[in-house]
Amino acid sequence: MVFNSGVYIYFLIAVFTIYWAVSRLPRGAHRAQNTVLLLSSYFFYGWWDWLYLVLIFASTTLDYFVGIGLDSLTSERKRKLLITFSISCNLTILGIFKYYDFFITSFISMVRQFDPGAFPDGGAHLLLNAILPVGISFYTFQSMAYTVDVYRRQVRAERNFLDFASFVCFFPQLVAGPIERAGDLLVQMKNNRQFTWENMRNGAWMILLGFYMKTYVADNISPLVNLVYLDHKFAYHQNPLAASGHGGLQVILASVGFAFQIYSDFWGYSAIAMGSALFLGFKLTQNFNAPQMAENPADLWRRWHITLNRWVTDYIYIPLGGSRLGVVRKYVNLFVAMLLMGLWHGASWTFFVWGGFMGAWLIAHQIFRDYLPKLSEGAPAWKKGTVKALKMAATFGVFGLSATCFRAYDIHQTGELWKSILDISSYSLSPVHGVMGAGDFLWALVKKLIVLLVIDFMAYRTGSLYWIFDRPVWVRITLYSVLFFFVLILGEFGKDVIYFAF
Amino acid sequence: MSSILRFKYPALLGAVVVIAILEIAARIIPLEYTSGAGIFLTEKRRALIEASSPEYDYIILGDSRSLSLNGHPRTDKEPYTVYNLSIPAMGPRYFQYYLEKYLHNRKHKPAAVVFAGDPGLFQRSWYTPNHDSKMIYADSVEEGLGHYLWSRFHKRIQYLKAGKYPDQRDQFGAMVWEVFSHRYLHLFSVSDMMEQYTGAERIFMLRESIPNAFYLYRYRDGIRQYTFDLRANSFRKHDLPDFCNACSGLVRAECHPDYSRVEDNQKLDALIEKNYGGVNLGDRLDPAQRFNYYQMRDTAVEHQVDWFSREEPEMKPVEDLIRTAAKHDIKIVFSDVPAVEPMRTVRYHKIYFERLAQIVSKYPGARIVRFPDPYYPVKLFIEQVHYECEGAARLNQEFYSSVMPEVVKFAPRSAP
Repeated sequence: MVFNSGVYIYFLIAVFTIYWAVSRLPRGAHRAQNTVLLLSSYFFYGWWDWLYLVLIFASTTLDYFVGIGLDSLTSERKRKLLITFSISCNLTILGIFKYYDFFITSFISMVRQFDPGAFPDGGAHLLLNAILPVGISFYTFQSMAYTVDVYRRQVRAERNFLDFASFVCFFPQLVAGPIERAGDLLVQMKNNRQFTWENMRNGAWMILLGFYMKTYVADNISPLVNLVYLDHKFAYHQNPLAASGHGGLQVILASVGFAFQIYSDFWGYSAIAMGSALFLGFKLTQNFNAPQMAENPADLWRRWHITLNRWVTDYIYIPLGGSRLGVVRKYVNLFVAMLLMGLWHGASWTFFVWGGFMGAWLIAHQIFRDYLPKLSEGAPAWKKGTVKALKMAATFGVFGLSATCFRAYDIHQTGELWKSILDISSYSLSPVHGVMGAGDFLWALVKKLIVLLVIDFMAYRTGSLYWIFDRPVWVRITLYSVLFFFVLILGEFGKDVIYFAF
Repeated sequence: MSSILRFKYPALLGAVVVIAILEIAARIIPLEYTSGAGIFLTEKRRALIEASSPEYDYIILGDSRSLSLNGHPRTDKEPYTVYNLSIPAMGPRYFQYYLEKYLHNRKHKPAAVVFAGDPGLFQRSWYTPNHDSKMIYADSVEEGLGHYLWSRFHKRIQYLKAGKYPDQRDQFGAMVWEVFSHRYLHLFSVSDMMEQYTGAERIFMLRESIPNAFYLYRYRDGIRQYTFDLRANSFRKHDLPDFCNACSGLVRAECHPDYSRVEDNQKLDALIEKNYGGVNLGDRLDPAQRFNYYQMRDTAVEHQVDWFSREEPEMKPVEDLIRTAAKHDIKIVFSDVPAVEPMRTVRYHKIYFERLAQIVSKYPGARIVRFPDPYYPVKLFIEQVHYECEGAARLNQEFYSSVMPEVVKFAPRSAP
């Protein structure tokens, strides 16, 4: 069940009704509400495939008992063994479903470089071909973070299984985040939730915004991006030549277009998650904060997939030593953290290279930022504004170009795309390789993005997602109606969410 | 609650009012004319079957090929009315309810129903539940919700053990819903879906049809076309020379200007009215499409012959239709419109007609009346299914000279 479908609306209405109905019980309302949450979350997840529930239940049970064990044990050696056991189990589950086939095929390819006769069946008998359970990376990371936090004694172990299971499986953020921490979400699970009209209002706004971003912006940009990147892997493997020979401008525009597509896709989905959670009385962490307004890569990563960035910082970068062990070690740690973040997105060398690119970009920024020319304090406002806008455009532009790794089906395709970008002679405003001219491409993108850019600019300027409620009534009526009209008339429903594959 | 909305959330109330006004406008404006021709035709059929008049002496049911049959008003030569209610590609399972709905508001029943659709409509691959077209979990089309849920549980374990999902039905089963779902959703209302389906399929069909109750959603494609993709051509009128009305005009480029949807649907509307429901789909192609179809016609015919050499018919919907006609004391005649010549020898047709004869023999109100030659040369077809203009002319001539006299003899028109 995806958020951007009619069935989710029915589901949410049903859960909302039952959830607030049981809150009126004279006794045990809190427990009843969490029971409704847990059952509806299992129903939501089991909608894809009930067998996945076995996995999530096993993961929940394991970390529940590990948490209690970590809380109870006093011997540091035993605690260390227990946390190692827990992390190993979680990573094994993730490894089997997500990375096993990738590492086996990579290993086989390497062996065949030396011995072309090896693995005559291509190693098919060694592959699992397991279907990746939806959102496994999200809930595994959330669950692991909980045990690590208990190990570090940052939170107390949860002894109520119902509350803990509801925390791990909370359906609004189960399959695509935000990756919540026990200190944020589990605490809310433990407390009574109050029905407030403010939550309903904010939730409705987030859901409307999310539907607009996902069904209109993301899913209408997708066909444009696919003109260059192709619709699906099968189309690429059938005819790899279709991925080469594009005009450089078209590749750049499609790549930047993909950055906006994945932003709208993921942030739109996260916004629906936030809105759904608000309807149930929960506040989730904001996962995006106008990333196109970032002025440098460090700023970008404070605005893009905020909860994953926070996770990688707290559980990989800092344990590796962070910036405490000297400049060189800091850069190495940063690079390793970004490589792993790349691999988190998927079992493919393209994600690995993408992670490396991000790491290198962040390091380069840290090294060279002090050498970049700076505007004096007294520079006129227009000059400051222009420089800021240029920095934003450059940062998001470079980020967009990283789509050549992130969106490509393999490294070969990445190479072909870069050949086009570097071949200045391929730059043309006319159609190239069957793809519309660059001017038309740009205009098609701008048409789809203009309203979103205005909304994001307002959020950026006011520092609030709920800026709309401070506007005059006529502005609100117009914007609500326009967004609703966009979703209803131009929205594409039921399309896949890109981050489900991660 | 209302006071809160009125005083605390005026913008929300304002947006709801704006949307309500748009919804009312959508219900007043004839938006079906802005939709694609497939939806327009289905909407016309829906309007007709939901009305209480006009009443016809004979009605034709079928598919896109039998759509080429023209109906007619009462004349001196043929003193009875015929109306063609065929709808392209909706699979075999809707005829029973479609007929029931047509009869529901009408005082005078037709003397007979002529089922003229392609026997291929009843292929087993198309006899699948809409919620699980490939029948990965479903065992039959009419199973209960409990059975289906249990199947989802225990069959999943079987598939886990087997390491793969089964291929109970191939992609043709899924095609009916995936490609033609708009026809179901525009032909039947939410309450129709409730009555027509059972079990998990009922839930699925309700889920799919509820959004269509809102006209802004129902006609979203047309609204999009006439707001965001507005063209000057949308309001242009085309006056065409007389030769465009003849078969030879169909291949001439000047007879195929870039019609707007509204104009195209207006033409279709006029055609439906003139031909009493009949439209030869082969006549609606522009020269370029026509050329493309000619190019692949032989290959398409080969594939069709190959497909029906392996496929089996499922006769339950045939029997359901006969029973429905019998329940209303209406006679039913099976008269398949001719297929391409190479289909004459396919195994499927042989089995289908043997089984059809067995079933029909059990019902005195049912009969088979076939065309003089139920297979036409390939050259009379645009591709493997639909007729050329000349093919449609021959079809109509033979229908009224050979088939209808037999139908009238078997089921004489009752006095209105």
